[in-house]
Amino acid sequence: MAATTGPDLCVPLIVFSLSLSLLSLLTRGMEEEFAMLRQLIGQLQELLHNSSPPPPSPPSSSSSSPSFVVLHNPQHQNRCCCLPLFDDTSSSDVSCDTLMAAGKRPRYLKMLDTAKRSRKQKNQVKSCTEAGDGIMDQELWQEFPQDLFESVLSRLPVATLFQFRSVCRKWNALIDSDSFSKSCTDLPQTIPWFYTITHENVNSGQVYDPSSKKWRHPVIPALPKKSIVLPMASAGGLVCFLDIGHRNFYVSNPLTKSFRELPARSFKVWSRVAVGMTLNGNSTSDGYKVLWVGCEGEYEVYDSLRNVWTKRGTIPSNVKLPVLLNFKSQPVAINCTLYFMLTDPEGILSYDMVSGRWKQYIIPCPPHLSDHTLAECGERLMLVGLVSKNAATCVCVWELQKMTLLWKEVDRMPNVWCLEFYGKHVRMNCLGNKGCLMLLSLRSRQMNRLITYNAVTREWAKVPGCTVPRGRKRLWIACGTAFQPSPTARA
Amino acid sequence: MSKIIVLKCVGHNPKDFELDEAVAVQFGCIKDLFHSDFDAESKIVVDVPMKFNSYIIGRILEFCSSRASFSSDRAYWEQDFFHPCREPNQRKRKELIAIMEASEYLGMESLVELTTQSLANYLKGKNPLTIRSLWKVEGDLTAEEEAKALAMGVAKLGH
Repeated sequence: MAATTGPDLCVPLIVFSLSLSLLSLLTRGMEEEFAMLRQLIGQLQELLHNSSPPPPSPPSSSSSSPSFVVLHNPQHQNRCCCLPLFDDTSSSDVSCDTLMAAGKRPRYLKMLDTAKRSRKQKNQVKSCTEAGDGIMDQELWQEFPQDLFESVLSRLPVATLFQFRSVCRKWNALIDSDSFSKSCTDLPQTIPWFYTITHENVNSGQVYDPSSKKWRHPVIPALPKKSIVLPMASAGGLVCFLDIGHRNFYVSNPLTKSFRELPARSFKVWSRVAVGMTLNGNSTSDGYKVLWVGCEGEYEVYDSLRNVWTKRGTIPSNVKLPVLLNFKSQPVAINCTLYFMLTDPEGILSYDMVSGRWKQYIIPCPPHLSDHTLAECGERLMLVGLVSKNAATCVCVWELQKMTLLWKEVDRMPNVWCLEFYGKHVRMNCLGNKGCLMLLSLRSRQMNRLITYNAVTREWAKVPGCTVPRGRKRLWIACGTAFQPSPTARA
Repeated sequence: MSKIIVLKCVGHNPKDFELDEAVAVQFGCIKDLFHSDFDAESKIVVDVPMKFNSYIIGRILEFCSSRASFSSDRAYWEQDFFHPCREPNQRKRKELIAIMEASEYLGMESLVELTTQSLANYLKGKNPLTIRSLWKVEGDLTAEEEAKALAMGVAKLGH
């Protein structure tokens, strides 16, 4: 049996160095290189096996046996990190700290080349649980508690969630499941996306994602291709479309393409309509309702749970008629109530989806106002519009004071931006608002600006122009609606 | 006489932690104990499962006592207590997961929220292949299923 001199010392030392570089590579997230080094260690380990008998000592002792690498972290005296070099030792009970060999640029990279050329080893080095290598990492993640796992997943951005569906069948099924949908909806609202239609291309939507500032171009195959279909309202991740020509309603989740064509309405008379949508509960699994209101005050409500149009009628006469709805302003939903903008008399009309009651509020509009639209932020009702005085135009934001029923100005677009519109005739269009974020389109003869406004952070942000994929031409956005991107909402 | 709750940790490094009321009420599972009547012995011992070692409980109590004394400014305490998972540090990840589990067991919602969010941030940037290697699963979707999953996915929605 060879003494602990010469080659017998060399190998442990080499392994020690390799282990250090292992750790340093791992900290850089270089899993591949790590795997190769591990193979090399495996080979050296075999070498050690063959040259001397395995030591019997347990890993937790700070032994000076040549078969253990003991790294001390000076901060925690009773802890050490051990890298046992033999398969039959396990150290799952030792709680360790790793000594980060950060910054040590491996001269061991030369050994990497050797590793690359070495044959694959079946044996793997078992490391202590805190050694920070891939095996421990896997244990960490594989033993992840299931209920909290869903909690973590539900906090991922939508884009990531969709990518993770392709991990494996189990994940695909989980992300698709009802229980997961519940844990998603329990979370506070995410940043909404905007589903818009362009003048050039009325048959497919251009979706704006404000968190990544990117335009996406989904296609909802089930929507009729030959007619003009406009997004009118949304709730719980579903968008309600109206086919202008045939007067049909469709409800779809733009992300999952879940789709439902609503049955034909009972009212034969048709006119310009305002459409609102609300959820019955917290998610689409509890059902949703769609309301349309026409010029003459006729209306109807769709109940998704029973799949029928109900509650048809005319706005009752206790509401001061004639009621002129401002059809340019999309209705706003707060909890189970819809709010519509009225032009004459100026004010708001509300409809409670639960009780079926209409209520009118007379609220004078701010002066010099044009192109105004209702918006919501949490429980607050807001108003956004253009204020023009002489040649200057500015976008202003008001909040409704519930006690006095007056609009109070709370914000306006930065002056620098407003200067762009000086002396020009500007039109403004709201392309959707939800969850305190709204998308506004400002157009003059030569100019088409898109901006978002966040009523909570009071941030105005520019929106990149929308171009077709692989195209250069900027598209002209006609209308749109905001929706919560939801991988789980079902029509 | 003020009530005392003792958290008894067994396992690798056994330790008993005494909690005063301000700290203990932050634990959903314990705060009820303060409101129940118990007799002369105003000290209750709660056995903590072995898998939550004293180090983890210690970290949680650190967080609690800081919040108990200073009720506002969550961001500050997050930063102080909470190591972002961006660091390529396995020990921190294991610690984070242990804290998450323990705070769920003890009913401390705000800490569960912090930890799960931090872990989500860690996973956010990973691509599915890395996820597979972390969880040691095979990509067992057929080409069709994968195409369907991705087609529904945002990956295909944008360019």
